[in-house]
Amino acid sequence: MKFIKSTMLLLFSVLVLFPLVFVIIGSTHDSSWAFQMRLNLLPGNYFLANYTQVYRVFKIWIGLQNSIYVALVTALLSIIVIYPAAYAFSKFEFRFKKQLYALFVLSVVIPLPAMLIGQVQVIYEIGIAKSLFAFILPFVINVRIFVYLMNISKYIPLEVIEAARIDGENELGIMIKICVPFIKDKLYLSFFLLFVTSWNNFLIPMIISSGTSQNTLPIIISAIADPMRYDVGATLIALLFSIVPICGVFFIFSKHILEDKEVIKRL
Amino acid sequence: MQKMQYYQTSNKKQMRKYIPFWFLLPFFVFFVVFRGLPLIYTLIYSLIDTKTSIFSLQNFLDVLTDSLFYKSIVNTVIIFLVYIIIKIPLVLVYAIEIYKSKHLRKVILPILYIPTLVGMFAYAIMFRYLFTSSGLVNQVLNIFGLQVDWFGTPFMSQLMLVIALVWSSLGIYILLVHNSIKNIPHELHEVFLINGGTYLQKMKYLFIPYLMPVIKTIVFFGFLECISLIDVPLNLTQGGPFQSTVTIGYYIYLNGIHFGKFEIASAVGIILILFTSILFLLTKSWRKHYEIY
Repeated sequence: MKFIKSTMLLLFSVLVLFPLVFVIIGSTHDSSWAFQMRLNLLPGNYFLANYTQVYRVFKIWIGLQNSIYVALVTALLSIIVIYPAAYAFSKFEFRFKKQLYALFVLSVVIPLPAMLIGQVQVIYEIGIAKSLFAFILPFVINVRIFVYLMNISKYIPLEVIEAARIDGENELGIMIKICVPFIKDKLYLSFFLLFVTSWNNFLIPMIISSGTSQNTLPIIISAIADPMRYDVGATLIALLFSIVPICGVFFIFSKHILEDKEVIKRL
Repeated sequence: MQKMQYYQTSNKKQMRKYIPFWFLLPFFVFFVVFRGLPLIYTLIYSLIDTKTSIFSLQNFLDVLTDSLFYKSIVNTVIIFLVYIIIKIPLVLVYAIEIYKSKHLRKVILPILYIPTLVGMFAYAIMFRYLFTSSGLVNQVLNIFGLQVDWFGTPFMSQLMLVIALVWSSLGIYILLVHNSIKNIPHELHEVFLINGGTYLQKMKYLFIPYLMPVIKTIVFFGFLECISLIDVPLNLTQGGPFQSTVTIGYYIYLNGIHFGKFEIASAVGIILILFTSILFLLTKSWRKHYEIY
């Protein structure tokens, strides 16, 4: 009985990977492969043709470059902006603390699409709409990561901070030199989550992007996948460009992710 | 000399009082600019009448008389309910089995986590190709003599959305539940070892009471997820057969970006914000036990 249950679970898990298998094998075939009535799971020989298509026509390497740049900068900037705030909330008392916290928490309840028009408007008003920063700055704050880091910082023992204060260290130094090493693992985890969120960010970039040099991978992929074009092979290869790097990043960080407890939904 | 020292300490204490505000400043600035301002803009847009450019509630009237608006609400609710019904048992069973067997854990968790790395738009596109009537899934089913028309009926399309949603976040929630299971005291497990008990009994008396907070978390975030759903309907079904996969989020996108009717989309946004805020306040007692909020 136990064996059957394990096998069923394992089978289902493998099934979960089925779409990815589809992408890998499909990228070596031409478009008709996905829709012919015969199942053919062997690799084909269209890989080069598909690659040329995405490389020359859709400039996918620029997209990859942009995506990496945007995701890296967003994740870094986010940590730099969010962590001090989370630290301040967890280790200090000050006026308006409760009200500010309520404000931040309430913003989670407001779904981002509700303010979609307003967000686009703000991006244009600030004048960053033509640069990649339009994909970075609006996504720097992430209230879930903020709450997560705040709760984690509560576990830093106060005595260590007090000792550092007595030794004459200033607050910024304390935060960087003492508290960060304490929660370094969780910071790696937060960095990873922020990176993935930014990597897969689709809606705002698609609305705002003004051309090739500003395209990130999601935009390019959805352009190739346009129902009018019907080029499945090219789409799948482009998808590989998006999936492989992020899986690589995952395996680098996997030690931190799978051991951690509060890995709540990204967004 | 002594007097100078006194002033020095007092100064430091005063400075220390303001330190947290400095730490908070960048975050607060970003928050105001990218969360506060959009809200204000959306509010302003929703109150402007397109034809006469004066403040009026005309946009809200237009929205509330649009049957597609109500349809999108119904769609979102249906998708949410089906999502919860499928997701929670799946996550619970997986988490419990993984808890029992360390081997399973090391193998299954990374496998189940990988879909969460793939963005929503990506698997929406993948699913679009996989589930067409001659797509790969039907090719496999053909071997067993079956054929399913996945996008045929409205409900099937909604099911597609649900499957995409479930698929994308399995790993994370299983991890979450698994870590909560670890916190159940061992003595309670031993009760079942000593007295014996069926699987269902164990579920009912042992796991579910302790996992209620996590389950509520899943429902809460699932709800937020369903409301914000835009990428998937956009890439997978473009609103679906007979507009059955138009979710609230997609309705906003349709009006705002596709048709360019900013004011209507903003009005919908404001209604949505009001609705979720009220819901949030009403369920405050229901969520009381969280360490998250």
